[in-house]
Amino acid sequence: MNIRSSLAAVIVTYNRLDKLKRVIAALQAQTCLPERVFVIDNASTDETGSWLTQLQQDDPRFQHVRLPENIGGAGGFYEGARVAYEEGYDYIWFSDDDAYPDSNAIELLLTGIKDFEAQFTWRPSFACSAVKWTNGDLCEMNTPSTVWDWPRFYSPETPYFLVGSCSFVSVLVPRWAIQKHGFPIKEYFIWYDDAEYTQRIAKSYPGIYCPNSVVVHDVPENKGVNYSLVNQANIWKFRYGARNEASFRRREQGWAGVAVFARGVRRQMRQGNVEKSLRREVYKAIWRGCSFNPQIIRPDPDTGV
Amino acid sequence: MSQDRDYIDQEITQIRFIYETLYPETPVETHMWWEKAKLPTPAVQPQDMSYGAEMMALTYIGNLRTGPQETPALPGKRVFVTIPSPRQVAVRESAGGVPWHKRPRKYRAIHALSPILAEQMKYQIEARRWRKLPARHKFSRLACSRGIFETQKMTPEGRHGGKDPAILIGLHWLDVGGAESLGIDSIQWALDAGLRVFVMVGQEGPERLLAKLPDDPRLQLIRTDRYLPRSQTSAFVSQLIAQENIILTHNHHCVPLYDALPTIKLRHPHVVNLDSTHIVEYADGGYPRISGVWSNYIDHHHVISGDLERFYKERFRVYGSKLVLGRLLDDSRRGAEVAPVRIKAGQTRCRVAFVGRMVHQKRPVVALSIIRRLRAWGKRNGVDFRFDMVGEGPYRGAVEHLLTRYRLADVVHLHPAGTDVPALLGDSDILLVPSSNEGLALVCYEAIEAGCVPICSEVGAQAEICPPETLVAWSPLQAVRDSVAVVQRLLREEGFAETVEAGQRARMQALQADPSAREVLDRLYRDALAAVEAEQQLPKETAKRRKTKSKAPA
Repeated sequence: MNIRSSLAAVIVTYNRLDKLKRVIAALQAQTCLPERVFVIDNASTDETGSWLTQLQQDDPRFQHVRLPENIGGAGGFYEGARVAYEEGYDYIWFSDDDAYPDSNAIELLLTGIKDFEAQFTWRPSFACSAVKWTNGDLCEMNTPSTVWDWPRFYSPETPYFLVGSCSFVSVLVPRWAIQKHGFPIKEYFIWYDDAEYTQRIAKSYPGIYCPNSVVVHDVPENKGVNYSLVNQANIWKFRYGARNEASFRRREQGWAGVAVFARGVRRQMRQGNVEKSLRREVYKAIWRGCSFNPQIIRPDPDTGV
Repeated sequence: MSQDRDYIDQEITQIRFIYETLYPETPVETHMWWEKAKLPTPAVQPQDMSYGAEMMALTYIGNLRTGPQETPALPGKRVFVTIPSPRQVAVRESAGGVPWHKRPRKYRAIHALSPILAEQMKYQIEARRWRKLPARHKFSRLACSRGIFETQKMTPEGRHGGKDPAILIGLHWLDVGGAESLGIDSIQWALDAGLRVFVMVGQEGPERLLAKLPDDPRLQLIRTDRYLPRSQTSAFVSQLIAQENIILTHNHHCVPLYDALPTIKLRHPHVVNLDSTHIVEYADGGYPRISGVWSNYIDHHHVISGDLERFYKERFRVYGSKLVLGRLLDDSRRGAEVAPVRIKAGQTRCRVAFVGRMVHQKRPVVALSIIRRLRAWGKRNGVDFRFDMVGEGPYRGAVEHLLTRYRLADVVHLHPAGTDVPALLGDSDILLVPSSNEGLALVCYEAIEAGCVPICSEVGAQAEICPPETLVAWSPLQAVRDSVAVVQRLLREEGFAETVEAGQRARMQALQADPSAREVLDRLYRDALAAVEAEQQLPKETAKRRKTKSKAPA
């Protein structure tokens, strides 16, 4: 008898119905469609709510999780992870509302993570896809960071690279990782929640990058996360990013880690010739991050069995 | 006993049905006693050749053999049951709670000193319990492996012999209450949807709702509360589902039916399970917590208020189509005209009502303290108050005693439980609802429709029907002060009654815009029925196609 594993998907959305429709269509075309797709609606103010309610009626596999207020992407992934975990799913696939997976993307992640464990005994803490931009280039903001021995298990038959963190754009997380390391931190609101979470669960064992599993990330620009790009329009996001990363570094690496991070940020902002007032904003956010220590919520051990 | 012959025959039919269903292929010897037995009953034991003297108690009324003949290869079961007499049931009916004189002496002493102080102490205990909730009980779902849907393809097939689809409705008991009232309504809605209905009861108790069960041959009440040990309920439910083609279970606070959920999931994964909950209780969350813990075994949670919706979402992460809101609204009254608020600033006569069972939850003693203060204030300010209190229960004696003690007997009129409440509310200006706990009190709907202003303690989902101006604190002492202040404002402040009226109307409209319990439950019943019909159609069509294919070459 095969040990059966169940799979759920979590998509977080906010006021992007057109893109969400394409994501749902891409999910419906999957060769391995999750048994449940929880679409976390961050209190969207457009037609998203009514469209999802209708979708839920037409296809009960898609469940509309309407949150009372917009708690950001981090809050959405936290809620999604909790809902899917409480319902008892063995694997949870996380993605954004503007990332379109190829028809076999989820299947390759699932078979990859199981195959890796079967072949090498080690248990990857997550499996992530190759994220492309709309023109087929590598999507810079979703490039996973590798560990030092990243090609250790690579072969044409086992095309997996070891990675230490990735973004919440097509990543498959097994239940045991959540049980052991808890849920994503909702207080991060936006930015760095995915990097923090995957680094946290990768303490057990690194994740794997599955280059054959492809997702197209429909973002306006193909730019990575770099503090040289700070401007008036995006400073709100960088504030969260700086605070969250500083909080993570303080927790995991102490003051030395924060200092290294701050030095890197300073260098990037100088290179990008960022306005002085904006630089001050970023430094303030780093300072706030030093005392920002949100609680990591862990599941009740009774629901883990 | 001859006058009870028909009654006993009817009960024996019940017993026979339960044990023939539970043990269809096992010899069963059922021993019965009248009113009282010397053995613990109901009980099931393996058959054995010896009998004890306790069997021969004078209340023994006989035995019944069902199933095949017992042989050494086929050992049987021995069942012990006690048949309660109608008189016993009637006595239960009049009890309705702990009698006043049996309450703890300390409590009675404090109550004698100051009734409101005793209420305040109870409130403090409840508030402490509420704060300690997560530490006292688990608020997480029980795990339910999805593997069962893959491996358990062992639903007994063809056992039900082509019987029409049925629903099993579980009730807590057959006494009056919001959950039971919805339970009785849902029985009627299930019958209307075309389902046969089996009703099981979780606990023995007063049976004031027995007469309200619909008179329909497709309805069968199973007295598992009387004649089946709790440990056998899951096995019985499983056999019943197989035998009677049950496609749906609907739980209204029936704990044995919750306990049977793992058996239902394992043996009959096709059955749709739903439950209805009404009120988060202070002691340990009550039935919503129990239901949330079982959530992975339940397909739909039906809730009656936004407050409960939030509870399920925040505590148990229940979202999507699994959580359905259906208000306890009478569809026939939807869109009915709401009478204008009767009370006006400056009026010198005011009629105040209290409607509710005389139990702690409704806090009649707090209502009486409010009445006492209002009466004193009215005397000083030239307002002539008249008070009406409707309800019965263990606190009735205390209320009567306090009326004498406070010298209020001339202005407070006590009415029995069967009083015409809409008519009373139609004549009243204010309704007092100082409850310690409420879901969404139906009497508030009635009061607002009748032009009466309900003044409620801010508990449960009361804020969904009452505007903030008329909500008072949960604490009894503060509730008394707040309630008196609201009445004084209504009688003195120009425009306040209009503000309250606007708030009440807006809330009523919002509630009426939501689906009713009948609408959502009827849809769920019909969906389950349609799914079964579609499943049955499919094999027929496949068989037809096969036939035509096999004919084609010829």
